[in-house]
Amino acid sequence: MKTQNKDVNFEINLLPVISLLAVCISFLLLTTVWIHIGTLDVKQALGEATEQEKAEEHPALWVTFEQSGDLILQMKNVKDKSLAKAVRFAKPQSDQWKTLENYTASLRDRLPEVKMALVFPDRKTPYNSLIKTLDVLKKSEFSDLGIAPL
Amino acid sequence: MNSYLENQILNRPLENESLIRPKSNRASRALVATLILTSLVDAFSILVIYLLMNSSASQELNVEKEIKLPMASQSDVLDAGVVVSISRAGYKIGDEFVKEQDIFTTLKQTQEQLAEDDEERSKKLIVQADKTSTFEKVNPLVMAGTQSGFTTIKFAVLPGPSEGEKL
Repeated sequence: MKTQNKDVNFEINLLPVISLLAVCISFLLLTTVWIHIGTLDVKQALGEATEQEKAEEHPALWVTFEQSGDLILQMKNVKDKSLAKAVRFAKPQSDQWKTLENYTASLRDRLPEVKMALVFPDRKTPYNSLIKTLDVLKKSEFSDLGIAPL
Repeated sequence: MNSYLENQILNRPLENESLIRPKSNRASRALVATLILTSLVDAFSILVIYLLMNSSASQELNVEKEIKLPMASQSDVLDAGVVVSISRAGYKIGDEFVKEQDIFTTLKQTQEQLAEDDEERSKKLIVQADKTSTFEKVNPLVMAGTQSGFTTIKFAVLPGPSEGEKL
């Protein structure tokens, strides 16, 4: 019995495995991208069939940045005229983005067929606010976003 | 029968050297211990799997140190496209700095070259701008990009909860 046990027991040499794994780990640590970058996609705003032209025909939400920093939101080409009323948001502060988000979401709920939103930034509009606005619109499921250059 | 753990016990070297009661004769076991490598291999394997999962197939984008990208929660995965960046040094298309009045010409040439090769990149323009900059700086790129035939403008952002900063 003893001799049989001796034959059955054997050792796997783990050192090459460890070496291989160590090389793999070093390579992956060096090549892995730790900061992932995403994008906010916006369609063309100029050209033959621009978002602006489409928005002029189709129902769309127009978001205009004023020089003061205020935001004006207005639904265009909608049948319900009560919804076409322009709403002004005084220069949103950190806590007021939620209010804007709620408003755009409520518009989207009332008019689920409207998927287009066109943003008209001002010369002095901070880039971060523009991105934040696009982010809010996208969160409210406005999938066709357009931006109008100056 | 000796247990497995008994074989792993190490003798204290000082005890063996003692003049009063030396134990070196009694303890004939060698000062050799077997390292249990299985757990180490397991840990290494987990690390390799984690790193492999983390290194996704998404595109890589080099962002200059001085550019701090804004954050957005609804960002898309980065695709291939022509990268343009705005920094204090000026406008950069690819790796070359371009004057504001030459942006359209350069973008048009790049777009046409890519369109000839039927590359997917020919329709996408990736804009990198610092979050503190104004739209005035970004506007020439948006304008020239749309005029030169890029159908989608992609604003590079850092995915995550967007900052509630002031307008």
